[in-house]
Amino acid sequence: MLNVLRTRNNLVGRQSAWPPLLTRPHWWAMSTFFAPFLLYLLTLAPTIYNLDSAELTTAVATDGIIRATGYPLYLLLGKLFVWLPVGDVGYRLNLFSAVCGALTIFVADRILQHLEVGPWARLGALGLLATAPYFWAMSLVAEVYTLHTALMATVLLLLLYWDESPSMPRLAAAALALGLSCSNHAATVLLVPGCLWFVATRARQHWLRPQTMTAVILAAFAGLSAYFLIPLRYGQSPVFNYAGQYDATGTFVSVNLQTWQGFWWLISGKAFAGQMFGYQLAELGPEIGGFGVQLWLAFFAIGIGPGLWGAVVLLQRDRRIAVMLLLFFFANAIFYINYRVVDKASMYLPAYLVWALWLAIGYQAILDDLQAKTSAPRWVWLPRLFMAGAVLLAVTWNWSRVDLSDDWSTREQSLAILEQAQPNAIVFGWWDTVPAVQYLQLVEGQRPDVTVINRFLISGADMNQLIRSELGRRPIYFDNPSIDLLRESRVTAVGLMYLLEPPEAGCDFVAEASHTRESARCLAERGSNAVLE
Amino acid sequence: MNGLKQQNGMRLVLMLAILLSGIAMTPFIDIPAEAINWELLAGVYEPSLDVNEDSGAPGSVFAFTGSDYPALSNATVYVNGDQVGNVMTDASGMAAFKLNTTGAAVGQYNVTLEVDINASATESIELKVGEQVVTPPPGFTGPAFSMQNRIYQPVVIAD
Repeated sequence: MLNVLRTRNNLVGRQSAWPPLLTRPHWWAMSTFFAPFLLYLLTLAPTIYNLDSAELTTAVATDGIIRATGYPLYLLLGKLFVWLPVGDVGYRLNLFSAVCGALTIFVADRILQHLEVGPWARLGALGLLATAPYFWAMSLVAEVYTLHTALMATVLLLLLYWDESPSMPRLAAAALALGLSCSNHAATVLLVPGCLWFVATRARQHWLRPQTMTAVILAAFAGLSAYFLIPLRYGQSPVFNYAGQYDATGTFVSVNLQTWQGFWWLISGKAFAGQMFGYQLAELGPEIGGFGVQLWLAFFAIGIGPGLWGAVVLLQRDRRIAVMLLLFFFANAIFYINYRVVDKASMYLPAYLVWALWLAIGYQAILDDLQAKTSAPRWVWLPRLFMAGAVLLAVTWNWSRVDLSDDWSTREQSLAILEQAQPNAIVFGWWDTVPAVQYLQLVEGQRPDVTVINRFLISGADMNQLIRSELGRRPIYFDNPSIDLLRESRVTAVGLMYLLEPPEAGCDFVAEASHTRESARCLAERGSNAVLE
Repeated sequence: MNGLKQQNGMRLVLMLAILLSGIAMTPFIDIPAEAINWELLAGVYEPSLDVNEDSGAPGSVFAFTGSDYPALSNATVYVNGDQVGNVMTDASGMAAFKLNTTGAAVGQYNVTLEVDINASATESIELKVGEQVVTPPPGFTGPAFSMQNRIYQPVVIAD
């Protein structure tokens, strides 16, 4: 079984300048893009989506700045989609993710063709990747992850092309893609050990030459040059800026992104350093188990055994590629297993991409073995049916979990918050309320009189002080009042938010032994408001 | 001939084992059915505070456990809005403390654990005459705070 799979670098006489598959796409190549794209299109979120999506969309549309690590390439490429004449801006950025998701499958198919994996195995493996719950879900809303996987697959494909026929331009192209990928998602650094291994284990004359090294470094820097966008945008004082903090007067104080210190603070993700490797050793067991479960779910159970088998087969056939993929996989898995965030399940996509490649190789090994060595090769249709059937089953099973085609909840929630807000109000909230409201304000021009502050961007002490100073002067809305706010203000539920108002006369509430009758009544009312919370 | 058949049989078994090994894990995995939407991914800081018993006699020592707080942060404990102490959350965002009610009057008390202002959770306990004296479960660790000097003053409105 092991000797069936061959990689192209083992073949002789394939020294063309550029791979023909890049220059002569045929129907299969087209379908590897359009089939998943159609799936994503049918289930795409129809408008602005919540959390990071709203932040990314608003930043792209307003030429703004987002939080660490800046994602400048996403901000640049996303702009192309903002100009599309379909749907609203939110929909267009969701479409961007769908294109990138489909592009990932397209490039992964090219990689597998390069590794001489047949169409049934490719269909079975990439079909499961395309319909993996989180890969599918991240292809339906504005997010950076599918652009990340598309660029990661491109880096891998270009490295394989270079390996097939080493040349300076090919290695420089891979370096350029790596730089671009890093400009989108700083987690690209997790790919660097694998890339270095793969290049360094090739004969030195193919890479250890001054001209080649210079070209590679220049190409990588060209890819990274998208980061210049950040100080440039900072200089234009964007209306949407998540790199800074509000002070106690409600003034946004941006980190100076035109200084090296400020720039490095943003792109290195120091704001999230506390979450990185944020687990103690004793807590890691469940996290590792959680990753295993996510992998199992992603490949619909069926892809686990053949995926493992594929990794073994590849290790036997081409140690260099196998070790590169192992380094990709484990670097990503280990980092994100140790990343203490609630939405980490959406961050495993690079590991899933590697697994899909192993899965295809495992499938192919099984098919080849059946075809070549059994006395009944006609039975080979059975595993083929199994592979294709698993994809259809995954589509059916996961569709209802990921389908967002009728999800207007974010827009409706944000509209309700703005409609219920009194004139000149201040609204405090978290990621699930604020960025989407800002989208309505900054992109669609609704309710510019309302000030909206993400609590991520203000310290608790400053927020308290700001609320105290504004209480009674402006209506203040809050998503989840703290004990102090409940004590110091009158709290009324208004839709999803709470309206904070000054305490009534005589309701100067500090728990004292001597309450007047009036303040006691006030306290009783306060208690009923607290129940609302 | 028999040898060839046996070999083919073995190959088919091996192939099936590889293909179906993941499915064999199905009974051990809790398969989620919930939709993957923003609500699922929105748990920024939604801490919770639990107590070992809801009620007890005055003099009870209740054991509180907070979870899903920001990690390694200073958390403040309030009883009915009054600060009674501070505790650090651990690396997993959990914090535990005991609340000694010796000297406190009967009535309901709202106990709040809050990190800064952005992560807060409240749990109620009630002190009743005739209830059992509550003690923390064996092995429970955490700083102990007293309500002795912060006696709850029930609000009575005389009409």
